[in-house]
Amino acid sequence: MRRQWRIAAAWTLCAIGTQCMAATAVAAESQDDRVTALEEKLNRSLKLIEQLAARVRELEAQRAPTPAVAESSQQSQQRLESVEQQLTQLVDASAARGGGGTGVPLHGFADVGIGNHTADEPGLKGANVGALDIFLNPQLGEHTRSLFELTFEVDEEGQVAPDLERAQLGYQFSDAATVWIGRFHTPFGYYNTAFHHGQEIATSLRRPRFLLFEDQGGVMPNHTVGAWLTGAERLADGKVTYDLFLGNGQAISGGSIDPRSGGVSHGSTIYGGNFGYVFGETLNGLKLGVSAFRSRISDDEQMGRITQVDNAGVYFAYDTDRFEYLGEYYRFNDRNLADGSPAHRSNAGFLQLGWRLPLATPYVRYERAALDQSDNYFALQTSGVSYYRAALGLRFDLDVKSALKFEIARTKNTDRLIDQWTDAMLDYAIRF
Amino acid sequence: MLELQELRGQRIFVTMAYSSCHRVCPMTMERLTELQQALDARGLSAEFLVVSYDPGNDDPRAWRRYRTDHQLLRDNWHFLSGTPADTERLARVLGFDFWRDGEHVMHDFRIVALDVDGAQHAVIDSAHDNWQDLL
Repeated sequence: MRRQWRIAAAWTLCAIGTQCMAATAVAAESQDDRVTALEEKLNRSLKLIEQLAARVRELEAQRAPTPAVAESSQQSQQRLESVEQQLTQLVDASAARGGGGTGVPLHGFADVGIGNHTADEPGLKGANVGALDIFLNPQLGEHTRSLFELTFEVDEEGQVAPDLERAQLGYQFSDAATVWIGRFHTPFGYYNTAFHHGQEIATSLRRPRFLLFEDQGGVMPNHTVGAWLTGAERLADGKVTYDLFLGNGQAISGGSIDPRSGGVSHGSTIYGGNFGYVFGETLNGLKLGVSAFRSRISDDEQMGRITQVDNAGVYFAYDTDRFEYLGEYYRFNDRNLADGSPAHRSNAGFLQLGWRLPLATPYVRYERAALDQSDNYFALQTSGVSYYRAALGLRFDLDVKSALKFEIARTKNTDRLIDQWTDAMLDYAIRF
Repeated sequence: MLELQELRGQRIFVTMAYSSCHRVCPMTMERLTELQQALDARGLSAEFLVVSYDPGNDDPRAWRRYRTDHQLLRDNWHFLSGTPADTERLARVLGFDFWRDGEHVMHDFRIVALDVDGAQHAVIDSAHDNWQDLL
């Protein structure tokens, strides 16, 4: 402060032009003081630098691994690049073997059997080829869906018969709504959509008889050609599933149901729906549902003979790690539209209980169909016979893709041609 | 939400499953449990990732119920669900083959072991299911 005052005073005196020498002397004295002060400051700074340098050396000594950490980080980067490269190679390799987006994965089912009767033809016995089912679902886009299923079956004359079982294209709006157009499995009940093809999936050796494929003795319109809206909506504790469909009315042709995949000439339709509830926390694994359809089914042998088939059903499926219980019941209320006769009532159903044991899955099934023979719908079908069947079976999972099944069943036809027989069969089923 | 980078430096076992599977997935969980027991016996730690084949149904609540029902409650077991697209991509990368037929998801038995660098270390599947090879 004193020095500042002196310098200020000197410059003030010089500025006014008087006693400049005296002022210079005062300034010289002031510079000496300033150098001294700077020297002191420099010394303090040097000491501070030395202290800081010592502290840095001390810290570096404490963090001796630092160079190794740096090296590790570099190695990590190299390893990450290596992993990335490996992943890329894996994707490429996967795509090259058909699993990627460059091809259509080929999947399907097949089975062969042997027994005192074949599974579908009680008049035949010995070894038989079941079906080869080729399943294609090319990935087309985020919302576009497709599914094609080509089945090769051996008929009772031993001829191989190819069949385009499913050919459907769909658009998925969300999990809650997908629209399919084409030929699909008619969504009635549970079994027809859950276990339609692929004996490897189903616990039992064969389908319930009344649910067999149309050309193998089934009496239900298992396939529809038309449009199908399906989806599911999650609720607080469970899930609601729904199906609504509209398609070509079937015909009975040559004694079996024809889905009319090529279109219809008379404009008749089938329409219906299926609503189910899948339980969540409580009764997890249980699904309950109802379904119904109405179809106008024509007879190819008599022009104008059309039966209006009204079907309503209830079903349940209770599937857990320990057991699989399935049951369905259907009631028919059919009218012959040509003669206006009263409705014909028939019913069919089954109950199947299976237990998942460590080595095998034993199951029992009882099925029954009481079909009104004065109903054209059943009378015109070769296999539209009332019957009951009790079956006892055992499924062995040989590995995750193949199963061996044994079944003993007693069947009795209870009208038209009363007959009864016992089946003892083995079936070897795979998926790929 | 689990970021895979959080698991960097850990030994990881990855498999795919879905909560309503009653044939293949119980066997997969059994193998993983055997693997966990072997690791415990050796004093080794690892992370187990179970990624859903069926993300539409396997929400956190479904996985929580599955863990409780199957007594798979350890903290190092992670039951995950991604988007359908991510699920397919992960399956493709790690070699899990799966496809759907109606309500069923057709899939393999497969467990992939990743080493601490995230590289594929070993695989067991239906053709070769000796889980000790994963160690």
